[in-house]
Amino acid sequence: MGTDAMEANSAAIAFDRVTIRFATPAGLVQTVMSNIDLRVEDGTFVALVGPSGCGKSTLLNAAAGLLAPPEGVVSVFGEALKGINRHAAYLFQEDALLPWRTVLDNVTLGLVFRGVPRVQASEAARGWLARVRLTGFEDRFPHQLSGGMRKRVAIAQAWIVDPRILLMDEPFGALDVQTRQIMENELLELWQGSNKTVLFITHDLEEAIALGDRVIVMSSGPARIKGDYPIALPRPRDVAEIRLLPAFNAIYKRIWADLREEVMKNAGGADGIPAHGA
Amino acid sequence: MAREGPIAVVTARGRASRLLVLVLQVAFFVVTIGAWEIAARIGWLDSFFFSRPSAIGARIVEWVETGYIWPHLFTTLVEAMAAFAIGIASGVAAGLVLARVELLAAVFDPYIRVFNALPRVILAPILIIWFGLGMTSKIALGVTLVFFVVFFNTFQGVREVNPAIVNNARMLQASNRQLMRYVYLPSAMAWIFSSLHTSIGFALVGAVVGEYIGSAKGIGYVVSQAQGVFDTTGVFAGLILTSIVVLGIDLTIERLERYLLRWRPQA
Repeated sequence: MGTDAMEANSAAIAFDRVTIRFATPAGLVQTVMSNIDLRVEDGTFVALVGPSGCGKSTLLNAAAGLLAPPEGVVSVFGEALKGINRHAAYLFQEDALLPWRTVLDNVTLGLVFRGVPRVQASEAARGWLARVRLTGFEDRFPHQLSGGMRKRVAIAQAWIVDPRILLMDEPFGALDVQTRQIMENELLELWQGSNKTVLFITHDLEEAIALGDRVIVMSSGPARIKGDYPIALPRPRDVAEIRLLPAFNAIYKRIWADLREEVMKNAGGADGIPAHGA
Repeated sequence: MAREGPIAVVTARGRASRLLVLVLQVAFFVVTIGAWEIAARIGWLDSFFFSRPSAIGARIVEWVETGYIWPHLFTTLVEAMAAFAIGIASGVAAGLVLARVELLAAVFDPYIRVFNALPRVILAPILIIWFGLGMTSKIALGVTLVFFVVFFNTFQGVREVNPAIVNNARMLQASNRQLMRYVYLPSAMAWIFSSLHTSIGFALVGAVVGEYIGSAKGIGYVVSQAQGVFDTTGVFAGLILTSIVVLGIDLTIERLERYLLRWRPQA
């Protein structure tokens, strides 16, 4: 096919001089990000770190097609994005499951919206629930599950439509440390060999390095891309063990030097230096 | 499962206090009604103006036994239920549309406010002129009452939807219709139900007031006939029957609500 050749040299997601502004309630115009150029290659896991409130989520929403930038172009597999990004699934920071639908009905949503017959959709959903180890919870409502279980439902909900791109906005931010590491490992396991492209947003540099093929550092507002680091750590990874490698530590120190400035700027120069590794 | 423990404790404690509440409720009823009965019998209250609970009870029994009340009750119920159904359907539809279409909401906002501020009961005479003395005018009056309650609640319910849930559904490629059906409507459902408890009363008010002003059938007509001959017992009997009917319908709504909103965490 002709499009294949075109896609071969086009990134999964490409930002071309994207600028985003919002009108503040006071009537002023606030520039959230200016002149962002970013290429996310197909099949790579890219982690984006930056101080909180720097506009990371805005960037992700632009990649999702949930908001259209007034300047610049976002393209997906070489095509300028118009409306919702149909190649992408989105994992939100907050709970975004339908609270009035059971676990099974939540997982089938993407298929049902696409017109897949219900029986077939349910069968696929059961398969996915088994993969995220939630067999037996099909008829529960989201409020009857723990935070980690709800995230697994959200992952099954996103992956069931077999998206080529996964957009993740601090999906594990609200979980406790142990659950979080378990979820990170499960995510890597699902992603490994799936050829999917991941754009993962976090404010946690350790998480970014442990997961990503590449870590991008954003500056605080208006957001710019400040640094871009390849992460040459071996895969498959275990997020708990990889943090103990000396190479991890070296990478962390290099990137932290870059990120620290932004975090300090954001925190008003307060003592925001977390000691890593010890 | 772990969550059965605490729930069992709560129910055990809840049951004990529920019994106490029931006892107190019955005691309150017996004392008030008893005091009324005794006061009327020994002459503290004039039975002509205040009647007596026993007489009211006897009147209701008489109405039921002779079958006199059934056609009237039936008429009132049909009017109320029709007003209820039409009011809900139009209120939900208007609420969903206006909450989603910013322009329409902005245009209609002042008109809706003005019409809602209008005391609807004064519409009754004009509705009777327009629709006649039959059921239609009573249904129309009930609809003007029910519509606004349901409309405002639906509108608010849609506006309160968690934006993350909407975005998630959009990312899963829900069409606008699917968004309505899977996200906005269920989200507004809790608000809509809370409006139904108020509006079933309004539907009945519409019917009874309409009948009272001009009709040849219905509970409102029965009450107005009784009032015409200073039959306070008849007025009270009509009143009490009406409340019993509303209570019955309200319980049904509550059942339905509990089933449809079973996804909510228990407060």
